[in-house]
Amino acid sequence: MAAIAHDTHEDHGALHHQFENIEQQNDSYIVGMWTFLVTEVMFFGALFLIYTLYRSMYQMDWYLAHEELDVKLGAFNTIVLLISSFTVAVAVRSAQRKERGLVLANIGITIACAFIFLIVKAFEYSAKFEHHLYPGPTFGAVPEHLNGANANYAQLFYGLYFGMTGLHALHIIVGIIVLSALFNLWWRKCDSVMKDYIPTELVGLYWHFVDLVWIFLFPLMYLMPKPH
Amino acid sequence: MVTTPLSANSHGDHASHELPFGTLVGVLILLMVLMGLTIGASYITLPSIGPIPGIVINNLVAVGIATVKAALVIWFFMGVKFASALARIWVIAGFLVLFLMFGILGDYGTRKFEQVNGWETNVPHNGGETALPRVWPPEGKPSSTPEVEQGFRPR
Repeated sequence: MAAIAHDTHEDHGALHHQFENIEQQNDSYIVGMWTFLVTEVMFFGALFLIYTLYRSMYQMDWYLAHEELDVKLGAFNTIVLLISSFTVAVAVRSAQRKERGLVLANIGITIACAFIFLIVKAFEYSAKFEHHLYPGPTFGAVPEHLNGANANYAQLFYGLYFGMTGLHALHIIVGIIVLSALFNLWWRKCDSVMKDYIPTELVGLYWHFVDLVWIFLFPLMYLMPKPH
Repeated sequence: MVTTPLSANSHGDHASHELPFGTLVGVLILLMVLMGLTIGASYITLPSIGPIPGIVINNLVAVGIATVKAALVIWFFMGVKFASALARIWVIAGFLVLFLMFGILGDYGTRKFEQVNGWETNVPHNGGETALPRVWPPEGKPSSTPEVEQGFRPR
């Protein structure tokens, strides 16, 4: 059965012997990737839970503390990530259509977007470090940057800000490594990606997840409405 | 061809897995518009509806827009639109468990209703003899008398 399926689906790459057909094999890969992504959702979810609890407890102080964050930079980074998500989706589509040039171009743009995101984030972080807004013994050493918020409540906010955006940035760095590896495979015209779109699809799924986290981080960190 | 019902794909034709380029562009534009909407909404103070304060409405709007954006990314970009029933169940179960996890917040919301005998020396902000965590408020200690300090851990 497997041999017959292999003959009729040759253009989809190697069908491994444990699968009935290429659809079942692809499905197994995608379910496997989603299993990983679901653990990631729970991982970030716990942090969002902590965020929800403390934000509801210290609304006014968190609002004042969050005013230090630059909405323009945050919005710029959101646009960069949305575009990168789009280019990854185009890369996956091109991989299905076996258009190597388009795949390479779109993965390249995605990697460039990831670097732009990290550079903007580095500028944001360095400003916060300069203003002593990182959790630690010198937190709030420059009181005018607290905007009148209680230093301890503001420290809780910045602890979560650095924790959550830092973890997200770590995922971006991992994304750059994985995308570069994928780019390399396409560049060298490897059969593993040229004949089978699944590797490109799985890297794409990971990158969309990184975008997904930022879709929630941006309004929660940068766009708090004024409590009244 | 042998397929189990769960892994069977409703769109038999393999070519239909590809999203049209126009759809991808449309989703990107929609995501940008929603981002603009959420920025705008954060600067408007929404009125309270009945017992729900305006700030809660504001937050619900922000999280609601983010959820719509996330749904667009999952459905189109992540290809759940073309995924098998099995993969869809996986995705839905994942986010369902995330939703259930937020039930933990119920613990913090209800502790003030739980009376604990022997915790009478609690500082007022902790609500008297309730099961709220016996920690100092982040502003600092409200009192320095030793009998009040006993049994509390510093933050």
